[in-house]
Amino acid sequence: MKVSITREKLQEGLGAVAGSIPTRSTLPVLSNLLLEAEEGGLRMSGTDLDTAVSVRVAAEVEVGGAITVPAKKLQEIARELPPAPVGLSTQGDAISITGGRSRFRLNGLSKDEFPAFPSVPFEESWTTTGRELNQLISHVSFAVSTEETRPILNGVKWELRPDETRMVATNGHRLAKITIARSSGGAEEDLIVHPRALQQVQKLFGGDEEVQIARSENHLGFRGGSVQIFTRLIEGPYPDYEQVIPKDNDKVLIADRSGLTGAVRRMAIVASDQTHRIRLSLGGPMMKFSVQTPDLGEGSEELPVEYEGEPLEIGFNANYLLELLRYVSTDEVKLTFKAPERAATLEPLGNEDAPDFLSLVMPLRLQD
Amino acid sequence: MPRRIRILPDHLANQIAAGEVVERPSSVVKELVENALDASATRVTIGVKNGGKTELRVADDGVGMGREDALMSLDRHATSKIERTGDLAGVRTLGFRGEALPSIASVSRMVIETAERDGDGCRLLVKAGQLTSVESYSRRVGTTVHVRSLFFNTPARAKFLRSTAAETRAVSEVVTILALAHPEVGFTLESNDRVLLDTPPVTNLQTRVDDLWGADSGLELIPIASRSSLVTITGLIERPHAATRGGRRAYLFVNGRPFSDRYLVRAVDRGYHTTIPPGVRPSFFLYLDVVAGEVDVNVHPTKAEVRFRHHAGVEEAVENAVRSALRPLESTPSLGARAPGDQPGGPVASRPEANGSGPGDLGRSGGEMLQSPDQMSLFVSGRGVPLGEGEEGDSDDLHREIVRPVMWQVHNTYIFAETRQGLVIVDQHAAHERVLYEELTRAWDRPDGRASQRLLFPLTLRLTRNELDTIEQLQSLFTRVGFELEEFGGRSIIVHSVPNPHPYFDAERCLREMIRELTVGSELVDSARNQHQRLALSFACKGAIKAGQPLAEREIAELFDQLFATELPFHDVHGRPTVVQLSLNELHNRFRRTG
Repeated sequence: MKVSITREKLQEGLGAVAGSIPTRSTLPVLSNLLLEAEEGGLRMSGTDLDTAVSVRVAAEVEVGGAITVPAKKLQEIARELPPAPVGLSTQGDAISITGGRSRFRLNGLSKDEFPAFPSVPFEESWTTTGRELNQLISHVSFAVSTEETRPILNGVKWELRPDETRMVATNGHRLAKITIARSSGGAEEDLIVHPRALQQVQKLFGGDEEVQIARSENHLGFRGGSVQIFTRLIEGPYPDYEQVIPKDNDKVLIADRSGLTGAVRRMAIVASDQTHRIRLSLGGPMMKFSVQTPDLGEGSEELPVEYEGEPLEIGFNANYLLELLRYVSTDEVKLTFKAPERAATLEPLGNEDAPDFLSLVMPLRLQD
Repeated sequence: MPRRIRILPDHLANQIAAGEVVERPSSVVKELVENALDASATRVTIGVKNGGKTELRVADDGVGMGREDALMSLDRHATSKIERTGDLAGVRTLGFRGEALPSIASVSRMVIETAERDGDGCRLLVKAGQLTSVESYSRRVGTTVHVRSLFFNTPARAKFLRSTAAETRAVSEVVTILALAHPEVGFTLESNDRVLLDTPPVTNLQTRVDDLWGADSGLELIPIASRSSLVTITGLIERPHAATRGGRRAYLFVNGRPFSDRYLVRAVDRGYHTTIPPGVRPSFFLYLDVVAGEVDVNVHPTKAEVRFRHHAGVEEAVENAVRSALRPLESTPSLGARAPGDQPGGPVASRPEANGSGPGDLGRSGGEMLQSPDQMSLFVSGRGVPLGEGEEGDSDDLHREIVRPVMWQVHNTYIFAETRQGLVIVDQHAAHERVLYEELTRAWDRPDGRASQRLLFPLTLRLTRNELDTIEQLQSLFTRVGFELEEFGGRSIIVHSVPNPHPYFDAERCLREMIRELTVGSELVDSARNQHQRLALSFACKGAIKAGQPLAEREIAELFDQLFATELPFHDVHGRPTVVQLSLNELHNRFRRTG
């Protein structure tokens, strides 16, 4: 392999792949990245076995070839090199790097030791844009479960439909769902994707760039521009979330989003470290917040709201409310309730352009 | 008519009294050593031959007696220790009845050598209570009492004496107890001219324990100190991790007097509750000091038992004192050498003065009141991460002073944190068990109970018949823990809401394990005193953060904050430590670094 590449292109490629390389791994080759010199470009790839990222950057290729090199060291070298063309060439399992008057030689490993990428049939793909993907992912990925005994809930449910696409995530305590209309058709598909892979998608695809998505038996692939991302799909039936989204919540509250957020944040300060429980008292034009934490103290606040329905006392984990409020972009939010032990919903209000976002949160029991 | 009822002659009365007080050589030794201590001796030498059956001797360097006092001392109810009834209630000396010396004299051949001033003394020879000779005798200040041929004139009693070895053991135990009661006095015990025990006067109880049982015996003891209007408690207790099931050394003293009281022993065990596995019996050396009138020592002929006016209050004080002694870091095990200043000197209970030093007089016990230390003071200031870093607009000067220790999670199980004197290693599961246990224990007393998270997808659990019975019996308590359960029929239950003690909590597994444990029992839950505690212990054990769980830096910091806010941060609920320390000293030693 013998390649000449600008320092900027090298850094760009390395920056894109770096996130997919595990910091600690039992398999030494995983801390390396794969360099492949092909016609007119250099392909760099990294993987943690669950997710793989591959990016191609422009380079002058004199001799093709491939090698894996320690990702961290290569990135540090690229960062410190003077702004001059960089030469990369291999001798056996080592690579030499030259730039300006600097010369380095790094020991690498043969390409054969690097895990093969899954093959995903991009010829049967859906298409979307980076912007859409970002919108979908950012609204739900925070809501996945961190508890690892139900792996299904560690993933994001992704429903591809002929006329719309939807993402849902829940940890069994609260749920976030976003739906956007999608113009380009494709087969109907239900996927469960790990949020770590979606994070890479968010980072590497943006704007109106077209992204192709295709699945094989166990994997999902994303392809757009010079970047490819592959991830292992999570298997198993996702719980029937439609069934738990309340349809008969008869108490409706409309509040100013920033006012509500501010009040919950202030109440959270004196809430218990463990449960983060705050109490909401509804009824009439003022919504009352209160919190009492034994051994610590208490707080209360009032917020003017529009409320229709019977009075209600209900408790919530303040952190859950704050998370949900963060992904609402409108000035006003609508919350609906049924009873102190039933799910409450929260959705944006007012802006026609706002995505169809619905979140729900289960209350914390209040004992009196 | 001859009168049938007559006053007994003195020698007969003394022999009868001897039957109560003088049972065997060890009781003679006890009475004589107590006399020596009451005479302000600083060194007491005890010698026995044949377990004291042939001869025993107690020599002291106390105040001694003049000739007249010495003669008087042989009379029944003759004493220097009290004068009037009022004194009895406030008696601080070990003896006071004036029975011991004449009683012993009445059943032996006794020689008393005593001097009030160096060189100017007298010697009394007594046989079966009859004075046979008084002569001038030159000796240093102090008194020596020789007792030969014990029970020579009461052969029936002599027959009940046990083997020489058994009598020697009994003498040795008596001397041990008195030596513990008075570390400031030196004791030597010789048996057939062989030294069994030799301990110089010390200022430190731990040194005395080392002297009595061999070096390092006191290594796993920690100081205990507490003070209330009722009782002042000082002494040493064993670190929980070092306690074993047998071989307990349990010693109680009140106002310098040894006594036994099984209710107080139980109070000690209660203080240890949850810090030791069930069935383990920690050693302790407790010195109680109460004001005159709070304790009656005149309830037992050999004064082996005492009566407290407010027994329940004393029990409670003992339990609480033990509990607070288990609070500080020094109650945890250490890898190798401990940090300096971490050595339990142990307060020395000094001899109560005749004028009565009440609990108000704490300085004399040599022990500082144990302050419950500010836990953060354990940790270094100067390194570590300032609290509140990264929070917006935090210009509070206070925050710059307080720093969190550098913390490091290893093998997703243990957390290392730097302290002033080395480092501590925290078991994350054990630590969180303690946090959850105390949190739940406090929650029982609150009307609102614990917060409970309603589930979007209720869980369904299939149970056995017995497990279902457990649920039926404990359902209301489960609700208060945070599990809202509903019977579903067909041996199934539905779980509508669950507690959420940490982000990695697996509610279903926790609940299943709790139900199983509470149904079949376990060492842990069987140690509980009531159903509330059973549930709290089970929940703490099953619900705590597991070993192997990676934690974010913020979560580690939260766990530390919660742990150090508990009452007993260094002990989990199974009787295992939550923290092991490694001192800088030990590291220096290991690396052969001096200084």
